Amino acid sequence: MSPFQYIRHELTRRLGRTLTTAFGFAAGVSLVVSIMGVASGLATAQNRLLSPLSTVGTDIIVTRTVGATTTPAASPSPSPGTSGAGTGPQHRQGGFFAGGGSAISSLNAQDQAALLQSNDSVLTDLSKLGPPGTQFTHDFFVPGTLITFPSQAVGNITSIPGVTGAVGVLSLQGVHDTGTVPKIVATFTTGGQTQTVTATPPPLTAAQQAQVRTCLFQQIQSQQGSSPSPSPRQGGTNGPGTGGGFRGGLGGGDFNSVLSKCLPASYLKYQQQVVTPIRTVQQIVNPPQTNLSTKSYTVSGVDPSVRNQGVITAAQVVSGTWFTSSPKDEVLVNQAYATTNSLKVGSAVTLNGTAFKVVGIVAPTLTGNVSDLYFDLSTLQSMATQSGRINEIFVSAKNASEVNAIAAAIHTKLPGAQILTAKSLADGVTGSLADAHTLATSLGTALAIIILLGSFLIAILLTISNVNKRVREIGSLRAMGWSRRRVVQQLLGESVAISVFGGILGILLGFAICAIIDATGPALQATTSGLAVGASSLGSIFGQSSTASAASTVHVTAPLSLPILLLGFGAAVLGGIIAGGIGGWRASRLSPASALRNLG
Amino acid sequence: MEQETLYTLAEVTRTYQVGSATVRALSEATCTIGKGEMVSLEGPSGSGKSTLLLMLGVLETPSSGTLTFKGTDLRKTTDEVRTVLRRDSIGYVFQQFNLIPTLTARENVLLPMVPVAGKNADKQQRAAALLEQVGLEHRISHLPGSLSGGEQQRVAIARALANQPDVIIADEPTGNLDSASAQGIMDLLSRLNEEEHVTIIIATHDPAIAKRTHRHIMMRDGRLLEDQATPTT
Repeated sequence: MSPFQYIRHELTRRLGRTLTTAFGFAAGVSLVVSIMGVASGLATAQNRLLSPLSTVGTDIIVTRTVGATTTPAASPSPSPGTSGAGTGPQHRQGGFFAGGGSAISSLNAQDQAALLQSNDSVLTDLSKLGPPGTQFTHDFFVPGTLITFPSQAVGNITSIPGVTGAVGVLSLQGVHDTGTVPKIVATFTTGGQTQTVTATPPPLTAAQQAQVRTCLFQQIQSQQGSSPSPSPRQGGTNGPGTGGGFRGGLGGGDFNSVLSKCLPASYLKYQQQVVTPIRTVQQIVNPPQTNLSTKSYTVSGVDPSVRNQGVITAAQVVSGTWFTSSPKDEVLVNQAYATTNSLKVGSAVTLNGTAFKVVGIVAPTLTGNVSDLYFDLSTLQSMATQSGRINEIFVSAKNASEVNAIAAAIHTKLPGAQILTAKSLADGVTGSLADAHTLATSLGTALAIIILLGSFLIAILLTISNVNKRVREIGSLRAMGWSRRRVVQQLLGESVAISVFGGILGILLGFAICAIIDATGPALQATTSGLAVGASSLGSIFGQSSTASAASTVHVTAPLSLPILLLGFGAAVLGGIIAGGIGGWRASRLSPASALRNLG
Repeated sequence: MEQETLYTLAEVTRTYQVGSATVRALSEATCTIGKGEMVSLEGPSGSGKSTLLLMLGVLETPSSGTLTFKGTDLRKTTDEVRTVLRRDSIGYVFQQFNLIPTLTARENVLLPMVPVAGKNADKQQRAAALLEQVGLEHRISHLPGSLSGGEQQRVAIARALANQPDVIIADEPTGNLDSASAQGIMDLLSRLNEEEHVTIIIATHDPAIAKRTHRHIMMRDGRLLEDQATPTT
């Protein structure tokens, strides 16, 4: 017989005690395992939401949001022309990121122009698409809340020490409208009114008087001499009762007409009637009331030559390929969007008459900044009339410790930049997921520790009680030549064997609990702040919901990883060692004489 | 025939501290016990026979005086040395049998052999042989709970013999047995003493049991009063 057989018999032939102790361990282990499983599930879910930057090879995202900058403008007067081609110190003077508390007034001129252009799209005046009743399909691209800026900013960030890469992205909200051009609501005519102006002319000067006199004289001369037959108009207008024949002299209308020819121009003008020009003006007085149907989606323009960094990376292509060497008419489609719209590799996406070939289906991970379609950057820029402009820069740092320093340098170089790091993104997550995760990690850990200690305590008490019951047995073993060490090993072995059994049982129970959690999967909400492409004011005209809402629903899962199982198992074995150690220590202190002590 | 000396006691005293009082359980005991003797320690409860038995069983050491077992002065030994002495040279038989209730008869007999090097098969065979020797070959795989008191004590004797001891220390071995079983146990012990020349030391206050031994040590108040040998017939 080996000691193992003794342990085995001790356990199997005292099954009640063994099972009681083992179930104590199992209860502890299963609860600990499932708590850790849930915590791990929540952590995974949160990580996916909170620390997604690492998945796209990015440490910092630089954006610029209206009203998001808090630095007062260093130089509030915008100087046109400096923004586009400027380098170095010019940036401070309303450069890429003109400072300013809020809104458009503090943007530089080129930004203003860009913003006005993007908001002055045909979307606000559908009549530009054709006469009323015309069927149209059109895709509009609006920057939403992410203001664009010239792409030269990428170069500025690349020059910061510690930056290993920076790539610009243009993320826009696409609005796909189909419908008929609505009837113009109001057509009205302005102008055409006649107005009489009365004024007192200044007295004639001596020279003017002489001029008038000379003129009148000449007029009369010419009428009497060289013109025997008066013009019909003159005759007709000279009033009734003048009879035929020529009476000579100057009288009636004749004189008036003559006088009007001889008066200075200023006198004539004062007597003219002012007639305003007649114009027909069409004006939209209400938002278009039409059978317009709007679909909203998000698009990003990415640099096809940068495969491992940015809003989407080549690694996230789940089927098909990354952009080829001629990316102009290619598009990558988000998996979710592809499923909804039945797109697959090889399908075509037509935007404003241009067909784009779907070359790849991607599964982006960056929650809150996920686009439905990804185009070549320059293609999107020209399509959206945003030439040379981007609105996000993805920056990677040489190492994580430099992120803060780089962020500060970007702030200095590009005042008004909004900088998002993995940490600030994580800090911005709220909602029940964050609450549950906090709960699972803090309260859950405390609970796990309490449960573990509780099950340890139960195991220790049971083991000690077992040792006390076996005093005579232990004394006999010592009397028959078992050393202290051997006795301790025996008790420790029994305890550890029970804990191993309890640990396995606990893991099985934990699996069951986690399976139940997975099956029921309570839903938790998470709201990520900081990055939202959609939610533009234009979108709200049509009452559409913001597509890039960063709220995510996460179903609680309790994935059991090997480390968790090993940890739960290890905790049980540790408890077994502690309990057996304490029991063995007590046993080793028993005098072997105790086996014989019952007699006087 | 000159007997080989197994125990030598010279003014062996054992005191116990009970609270503030010092209790003298054994006072200046002096005697020798030779190999192959069959000795009974007789006396009322509290006479010190249990204490003397613990000394002889190398489970206790004297407070003063000299006790040698097989030439070893036990006061100068460590627990490890005494453990080995107990394992190799002494077998115990208890009033309560003290069998491990979760082990079968054979496994109980194997227990003292666990710390000893040797092939498991040999040990198994020896355990079976020992059980046969005590007349329990049909009870080899029984748990103690399914054995009678007399059978349990036979298992205990087989266990005590496991490592071929020089001496069997038996504390009231028949105290929990009916008289028929008691006589059966005494028959077994006598046979071991006669056939195997195993020294037997029995503590008892049953005259019928004491009568079966060859040497009677009478004790009272921790002292050896009388030490007489029964003439062998």
